[in-house]
Parts: sequence; C-alpha cells; structure tokens
Amino acid sequence: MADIGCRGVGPLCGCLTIGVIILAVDTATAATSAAISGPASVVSRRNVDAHGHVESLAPMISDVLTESGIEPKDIDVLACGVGPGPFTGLRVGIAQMIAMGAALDRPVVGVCTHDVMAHAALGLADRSTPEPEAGPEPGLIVATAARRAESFVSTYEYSGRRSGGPIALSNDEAHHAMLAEEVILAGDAVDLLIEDVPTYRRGPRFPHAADLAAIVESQLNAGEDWSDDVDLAIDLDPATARGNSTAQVLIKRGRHGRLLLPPRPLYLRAPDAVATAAASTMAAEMDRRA
Amino acid sequence: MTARGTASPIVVGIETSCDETAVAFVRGRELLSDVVASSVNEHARFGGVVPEVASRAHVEALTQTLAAAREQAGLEWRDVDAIAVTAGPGLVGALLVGVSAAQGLALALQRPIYGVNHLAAHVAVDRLVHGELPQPAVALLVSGGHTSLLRVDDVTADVIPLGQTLDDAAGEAFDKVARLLGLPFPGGPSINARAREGDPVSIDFPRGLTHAGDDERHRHDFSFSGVKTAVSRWIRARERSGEPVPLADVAASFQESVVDVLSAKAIRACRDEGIEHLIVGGGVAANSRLRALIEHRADAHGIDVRIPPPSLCTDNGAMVASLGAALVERGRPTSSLGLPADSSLPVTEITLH
Ligand SMILES: [Zn+2]
Repeated sequence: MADIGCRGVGPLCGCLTIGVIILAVDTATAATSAAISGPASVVSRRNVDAHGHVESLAPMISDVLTESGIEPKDIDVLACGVGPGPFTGLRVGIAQMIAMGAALDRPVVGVCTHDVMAHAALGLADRSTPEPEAGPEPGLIVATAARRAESFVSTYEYSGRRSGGPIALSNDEAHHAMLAEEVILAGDAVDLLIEDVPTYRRGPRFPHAADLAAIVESQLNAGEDWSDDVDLAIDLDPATARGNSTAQVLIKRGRHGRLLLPPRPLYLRAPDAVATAAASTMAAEMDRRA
Repeated sequence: MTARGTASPIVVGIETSCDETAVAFVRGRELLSDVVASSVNEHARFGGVVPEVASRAHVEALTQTLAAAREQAGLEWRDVDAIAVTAGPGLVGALLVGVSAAQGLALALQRPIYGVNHLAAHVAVDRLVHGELPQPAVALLVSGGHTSLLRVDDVTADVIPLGQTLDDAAGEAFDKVARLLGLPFPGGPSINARAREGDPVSIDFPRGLTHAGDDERHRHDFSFSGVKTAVSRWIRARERSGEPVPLADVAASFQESVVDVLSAKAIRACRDEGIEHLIVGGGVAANSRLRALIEHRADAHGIDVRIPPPSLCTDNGAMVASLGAALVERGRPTSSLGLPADSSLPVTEITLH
C-alpha cells in the first residue's frame, strides 16, 4: 500500500504532516457509513441497507460527532465517496457534505469509492500467500454491484495504484476478469459472480468511511514538497490566512495527492431514463404520424 | 427554540422535487432571497422531465444555489433559525438531493429541520405576497405534476383534499398538446403565447368531468386526458383532409377548455364550502388566461382571489421557506434528522416525521 499516504518518515521526509479533523461519509453502495477522524482517534459507524441511506446517514453523523466530542465547527474537511454506485443513495452522502461544507465554510472533497475499498483490502486483507513482485499485473480487483447485469470494476496494482477503471462491465466480463489467480477481490459484486472465494483472496464487501478518512488525511500530506513555495507559505501564514485552515488552502490550491476529487458523482453510465424517454418520445412521434 | 423568539424566524427553504433546484431565505413573511436553477432545457428534447437527468442536475447546482441564496439574503449561515425542505410529493431521486442537503445544513448549523409537503408550500408562499393566509380558504394548485383543489383551514396543520386530477396534471396536458402542435417544452408558456393570436371558441374541445352525471363522484375532480386525445384526433382529421392546421386556434381552444374547467370548479368549490377566499398556485397559475378567467368569475360571486406573481407560482425555495416559517411561528413539531423523502406524500401530511 505504498502509494496511498505519505511515504516519508515524519519530520525528515520534507512534507509537513498536518493534523486535520475530517468528516467522511460513503453512500455509494448498499452500505451507509460515516467516520470522524481527529488527530487522536477515529469514530465510525456503518450499516448495510440499500434503501436506507437518507434515513441512516444524518443520525449516524450526529452519533459520531457526539461520541468523538467534536463540534461541527471544528471540522476541517468534509469528504464523501463519489462512487461509482447504482443507487440514488449515492447522491445522499455527496449532497449532505456539500451542504455541510457550505454552512461551515469548509472544503468538500470526493474519493472514488473503489479506492476506499482498495485501501482497506491492501491494508487489511489476509495476504498469507506471497505477493508477486510489483509490476503491471493487477493485485486487486474491486467489483461493486451495478444492477442491470453489470458490475462497476477497478483494478489495482499491489502498490495501491489504480491501473484500470472504474468502468461498467457486463457481469460476464467482470467474472472473467476475476478468474485470475493471486488476485484479491473486493466489493459486493464478487459474491454475485464467483462462488467460494478463498479467504486469503477476499477483501471487504463494502467501503468504510474510516478508510475514506484515512485516504483523505494521507492525500493532504502527499503533495510534493512545497516547503519552498513562497505563495503557499503566505497563504498558510496564520497572520494572513484569515480563518483558512491549512487543509483548506492545500485543497484550494490543488496541493494534495491525486486521489482527491471534486465532490461529484462518478456515474459511468448515461442517465437510466434517457433511453426510455427518448424511445417514448419517438413512439409518440410515430403514433402521431400514423 | 429559536435564537430570536418565534415571531419572525429566519428560515432557509430547499426545493428539489422536480426540475428546479431552489433555495430561498425568509424572515417571517419577508422574502430575503430566492434563487432557482432550472434544468428545464436539459429535458426539452425529451418533451418532459427525465427523473435521472433532474437528479443529476440538482447535485450539480447545489453548491452554487446555496451560496447565491445566502449571499443574496445578506446573512451568515449561523443566523438561520430553521431549515425547511420539500420532502414530497415529487420525483424520489430528486427529492433525495434536497432532503440530504437540508440534513447537512441541520447537522452543521445544529438547527431544527422541517420536511414539508410541496402542495402545502404552494399555498403558503402567498404569505410572502399578500400577508397572513385567510382561514379557511380553498386552494387550486395546478402544475405539470399536480392539479388539486384543497380546503385549507390551517396551512400548518389542516389541509383537506377536495378533488384532484384522475389522469394527467393540467401542466402535463399543456406539454403533450404542445408536442402535438410542434411547440417547445414546457408547453404552458408556449401555448399561452400562441393562444393570444387564436380564437378560443373556434373549436369545441371537451370539458372533462363537467357533466351532471360526474357530479356525484367527481364533483371536484379533473380529467385532462380526454381533451388531449380530442386535440390529437382533431389535428389528424385535419391533416387527412389536406387542410392546414390552424395552430393558434387549436392552442387557444385547448387552453380555453382547460382553464374553463379549472376556474369553474375552483369557484364552485368555494361556494360549496361556503368559503370566500381562493388561493391559486403552481406553474399553470402563471397562465394569463387562467388568471383573468378566475378573477372574472370570482368577482361575480364576491370571492377574494389571491394569486402570487408567476415567479412564486412555479416551484421555488420561497414557498418552502414560507411554510417553514409558518410552522416555526405556530410551534409545530419538527421532523427528525433522519427524515426520508416520500414521493407520494399525501397532502393531509403537512410535515414528515
Ligand atoms: Zn409544484
């Protein structure tokens, strides 16, 4: 998991480690999860109910805030999983973070939900079999249920680098891709496509917001060495920053790792109804001419 | 409950039930800002609102709309006393975006949230224009999504449906007939404009559910699929005979048939209920012929009519904020933080819990 996070050794690596409070949520799959990560600890929750996102998420956020003793105004960064995801629930987490970001005047970032699962799988999976040498071969496939006989699929190297996807594949194509040996499989589509995945190959089924928060924190610290950037230093100077937190400045200036995205859903497909609506308009047109 | 008492609460209202992403601020009955981003042009080529296209557009527009409404109001977010949001009825995916955004504001600001009924909000918006609502009142709500007659004894607690459309909403009929006539979507404004050059009595299109036999079961109900079919048949017959289709006359006669029924039934509902106040709302209330005919007929029966300006008749955030402020003022119970969206919320449920 070398590429996710700061590879440096604390103060010696040349990158400033910033202590941020991150509220992270993900509603891209059947799971709803929320996590608040502060300098000292992470408090998180998750439940799985494909149609419960809008009812679960806000109370869940309220719970993690209460438990952590963190006030909304203390949050530095709001983060959301941006999918891909087949449910209308995908937009629940994104819209809540956008609104919280507006009300708190804090930056809102997105992370690809497959990256969240990849992070967890590569960090947590039981890798009792030897890893192959780092190379172009995928070490991990994340496949999440996309409905309509499709799966959303991403491939990752063992280093954590995403080498392909996310894309929508037919379940046949997705199944074929997953047959490779020595590949860790994560995501809820795996169970639909393959029977009896050996434990050592099985990553998490659903994303967890705690992993999302960890990615955001490491990405904020993963920008290049900017210690000699005069403009940035001025922006970060507490005397001139006027309430801008360090995280806010780094995000505004794009000085972070490439895994941080704008808070916009990754849809991967044209709107469901477009084809239908176009067809019905056409039908009406033909009916009219008949 | 509110920082400054409940007299003139500052309420932010969010509306995303169809194709408008709208946010507004009110202070009591005073409108402070009203920002509407519409995805109507993205739906035009389909001749109707495409739910997934609308839902996507809401997320895209959210950041800007929230910021613009707050800025226009000249307030800070911390000044807000309560958040109101349309929880239904409407397109479920579209409603979810607004409800989620409202939950985010409630969490961040630690203020109460009211998930409100879209139809009641269409009635409540008139507080911002003509002052406190008369009680009781009859409300006629006509748009692309709804056509309802309501008895409103208290817009924050007591709304009874008298009648509604059995098939197409009035606005939907306008859209479909516009498509038949090759006029642009949305059909309401384009037919209204075209009808000005036509003769409204040149073609006798049917008036749905107005026969004596309909009175028993459907006295206050509407039906617009019949007139739409009649227009379609009339045009086809005309084309078969090789004669040109007089667009303006068809538009005017169709429009007359719809507004005739709407206004006649609204006035009759007032008289049946013994109520002297009629409130009209919804996008079709922007139709100039409907406004004129209702006012004319109401005059004859001594009924007082309130119709907000067109910008407040179509879907907007002001209507939601206005209902929210009324709920705060009357001390009505708040919704829970985990309120759902309910695409078929009955009009009798003014807030969702
Ligand atoms: Zn409406």
